[in-house]
Amino acid sequence: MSFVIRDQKNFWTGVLYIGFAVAVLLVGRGYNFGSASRMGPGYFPTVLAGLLFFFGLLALIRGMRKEGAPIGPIAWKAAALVLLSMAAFGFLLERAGLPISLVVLIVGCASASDRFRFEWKATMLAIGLILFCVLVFIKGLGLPMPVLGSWFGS
Amino acid sequence: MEIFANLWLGLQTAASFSNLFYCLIGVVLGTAIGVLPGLGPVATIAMLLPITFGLQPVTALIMLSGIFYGAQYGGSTTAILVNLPGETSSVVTCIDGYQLAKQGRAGKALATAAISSFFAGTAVTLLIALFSPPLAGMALKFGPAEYFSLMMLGLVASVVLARGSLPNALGMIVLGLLLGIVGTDVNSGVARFSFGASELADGISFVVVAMGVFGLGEVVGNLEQGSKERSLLVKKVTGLMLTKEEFKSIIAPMLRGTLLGSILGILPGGGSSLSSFSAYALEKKISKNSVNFGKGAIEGVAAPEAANNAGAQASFIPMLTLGIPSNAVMALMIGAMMIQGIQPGPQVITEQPALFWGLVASMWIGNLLLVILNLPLIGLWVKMVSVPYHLLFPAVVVFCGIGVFSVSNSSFDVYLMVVFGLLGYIFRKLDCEPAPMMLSFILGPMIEEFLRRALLIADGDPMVFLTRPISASLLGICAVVIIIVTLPGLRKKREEVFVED
Amino acid sequence: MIRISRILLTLVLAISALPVCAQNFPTKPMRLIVGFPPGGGSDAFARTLGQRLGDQLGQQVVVDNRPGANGNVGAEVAAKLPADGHNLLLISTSQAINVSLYAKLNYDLLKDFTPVAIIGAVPNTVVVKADLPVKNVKEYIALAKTRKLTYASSGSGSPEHLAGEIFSAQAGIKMVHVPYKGSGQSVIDLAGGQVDSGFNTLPSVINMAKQGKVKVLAVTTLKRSNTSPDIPTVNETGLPNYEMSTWYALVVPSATPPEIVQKLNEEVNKAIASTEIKARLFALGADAAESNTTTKASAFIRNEIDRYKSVIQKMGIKNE
Repeated sequence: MSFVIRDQKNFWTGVLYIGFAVAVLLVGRGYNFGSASRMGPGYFPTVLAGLLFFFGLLALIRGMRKEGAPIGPIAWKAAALVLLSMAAFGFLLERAGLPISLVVLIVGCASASDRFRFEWKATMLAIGLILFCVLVFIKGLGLPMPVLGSWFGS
Repeated sequence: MEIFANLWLGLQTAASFSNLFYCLIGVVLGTAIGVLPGLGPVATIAMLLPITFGLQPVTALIMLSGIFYGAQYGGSTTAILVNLPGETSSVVTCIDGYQLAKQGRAGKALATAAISSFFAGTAVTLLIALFSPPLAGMALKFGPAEYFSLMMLGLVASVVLARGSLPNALGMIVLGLLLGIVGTDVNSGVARFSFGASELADGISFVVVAMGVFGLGEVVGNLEQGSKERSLLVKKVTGLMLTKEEFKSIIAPMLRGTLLGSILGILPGGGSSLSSFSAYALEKKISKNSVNFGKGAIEGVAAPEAANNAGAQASFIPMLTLGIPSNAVMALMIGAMMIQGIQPGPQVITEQPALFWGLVASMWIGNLLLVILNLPLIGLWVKMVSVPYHLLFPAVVVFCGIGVFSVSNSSFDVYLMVVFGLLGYIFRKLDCEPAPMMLSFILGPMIEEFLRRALLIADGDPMVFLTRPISASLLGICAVVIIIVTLPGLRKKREEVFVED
Repeated sequence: MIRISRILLTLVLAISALPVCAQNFPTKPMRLIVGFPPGGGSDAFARTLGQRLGDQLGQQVVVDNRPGANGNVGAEVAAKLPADGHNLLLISTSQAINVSLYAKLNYDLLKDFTPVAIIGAVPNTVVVKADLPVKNVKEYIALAKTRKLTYASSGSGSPEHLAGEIFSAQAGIKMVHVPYKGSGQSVIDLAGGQVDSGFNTLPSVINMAKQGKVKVLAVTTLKRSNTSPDIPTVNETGLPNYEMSTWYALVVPSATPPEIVQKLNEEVNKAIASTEIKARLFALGADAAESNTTTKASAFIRNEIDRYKSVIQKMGIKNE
């Protein structure tokens, strides 16, 4: 059987499942397996990983046998901008405080849109959103998030 | 008719000015935290508890329970409008609700949610008033074996949630089960797949996975479409209210949802987390409109919303009659009662009739207030989502971030959500349905816990699941469902449902 | 202009460089870290005490829940916070157990923190299902010697689990431990008769006991609890000197200036001596601690850690 990917979606689903299953088996090999009547902590993960491997294999085989729709273009830039600015938000929230981390998050993820440009309306909306968050979450609900974070000595 | 005298006493109590006022505050606050994803009623009630010390006991309980069912109500709004399920129960509301919103029928979806919730709330209020004590006994009939079998039934039903190819859907279910395993094993205390991080020792929070896979995944997926498609995201809004035909079509799903939700809600061991899922699955199987499920079926909003609200309110039954907390909110309510010097239990009905019936009546009043508040708000919400997407999505992302952080005030959870955001986008690209994965993610840890506990108590004898009648009949239903799904004669019909779209 | 601003700047720097003195402490809202989610016993203790401390000190005390890993996440977070007295941590028996339970911890309870004061304790109970044919601790032990009994706890390595293990060891019996996630479901299973017995906190079982759905045989404190004085202790009914309660204490990062620790100690003692706090804790099923010095609190916590260490080593339980 020649190695041809006919159905990209099924093929990569298979790769994803098998990857997960193998990772679970590798990480979980140290857990005590036990027996069916006295299950150890490793029993469930091992059995489930085996099942996932099986479904992964099934998808992989179908991906090479049956024709299917292609995956289509992947929005690397949008994904990277949205996800990285969220990570930056997580990093900055306690260090720089809520308003600053929100500016980074909002500008960062908004720039993922191809309609991103400077406009007054959007800026005012962003400022309004930040004000709303500070007032509602910190002042109103008293969530333990700093206005100014540890970088500013509080 | 004693019941009417009791309800009349309750109405008199609940309709006093201060009780109405605090009921209103409770439901408004509840709706607000329900709409904001991530923020849950548990944290809010815990924070507000000290404030209630100065209030009359009945007033305090009225306000706190208002927050609870108000939050159940508000959760559906964000799920429908921007595909953000803030609670376990909203995941299935996302499926059809968000599709409806995309078709410009957000108003109808929201109205359906409001009406179904109100209907369920009213029905369960009556149920509590009429049958509380006998129903409470049911809660104690369920041991680990029964819960295991119930959860298995839920897992089997999750297959019905899936669209697309069956083996891939089963794969997603297994993946969800595996994700649920992360964290400390209840039986042995071993932290599994936590990679040494204390933050993972209690497992991955539902909100983190839901916000990542649904929220961020959806945002990236929409951005990928380019500006042309995105402006079409919300088509012209067609009618806010339901037509007569639509109203008729949701009556039966609403009834079934309420019934299912009430039964599951009475069970204190996590039954209510199944209510909206199972109502949706049931509806998808038996509805005349089942072809449209997943593409914007109004019945797919009505049934789970009714079930969800019924389940939430039915969890008051074991709390009020036995002092059993079925969830963290009920545990807080018991705490609030004890601080006020009231011992929860069956004697509350006889010793404190004004408190018991006042609370019951306030639930109905609260549900009425919610409908009165929410129906006019629908227009406003719908306007909000007709904001151009490039202006709307940063706000969605912001609420994801703050919501996830506030779950346990931890940046770690935000990073984890980023990982699930990526995973969510990959799922979209590969046409892998995340909803069944979410259900198995919730059920997985419970299934394992109950299974191993049942075996531990039964000294390792697996027959315990068949010798106990309730457990055996639940497993019997499981078998029937599996046979229906796999029988060759019926397979053709299922293939249509599965492979289509 | 430049000179004035420079003087101002020097002044500001000088003031901020001054050691925070106990007289004007606290200078800003304080943070009380709790290692458990809202709604639990630790959270209730923290909110009750936090509100009162805030009133006494004239600054708000914000309760900051950092749940995870039996209270380890909260302790990890608190250990890294500035030690200026504005950051407090509520610990309980759990963290003292964790010292020996976990193979590796990212903080050192004894080195990273200085105890401020013991706040109070919740008694645990020996509780059995309604139809178990025993009336007291002696009969319970006797029954456990004739057949295998199951006992529920709120988790592997929880204070209740240790209460059960210490009990079994002292009584010379072997029981099957059935761990739960928290006390809620375990009490339900006790009331439903799914497990034979359990070790649970007094407030979690008292409702069911009053309804006759479970039987509370004894409390695990040395003295009877103020909240339920009619329930005997294990100590007086069969196992002398048996004690295992869930206590709560306030600690601060260890670099906190001693005079501030002292000030906080006085304020906590004032709070737990007040009738208001006593009543609140009473309603939660807890007993407020008696006035205690930092030295006494410190000695108590050390003693508890050592006690659990030997039990855990004997039992051979280990969390990773």
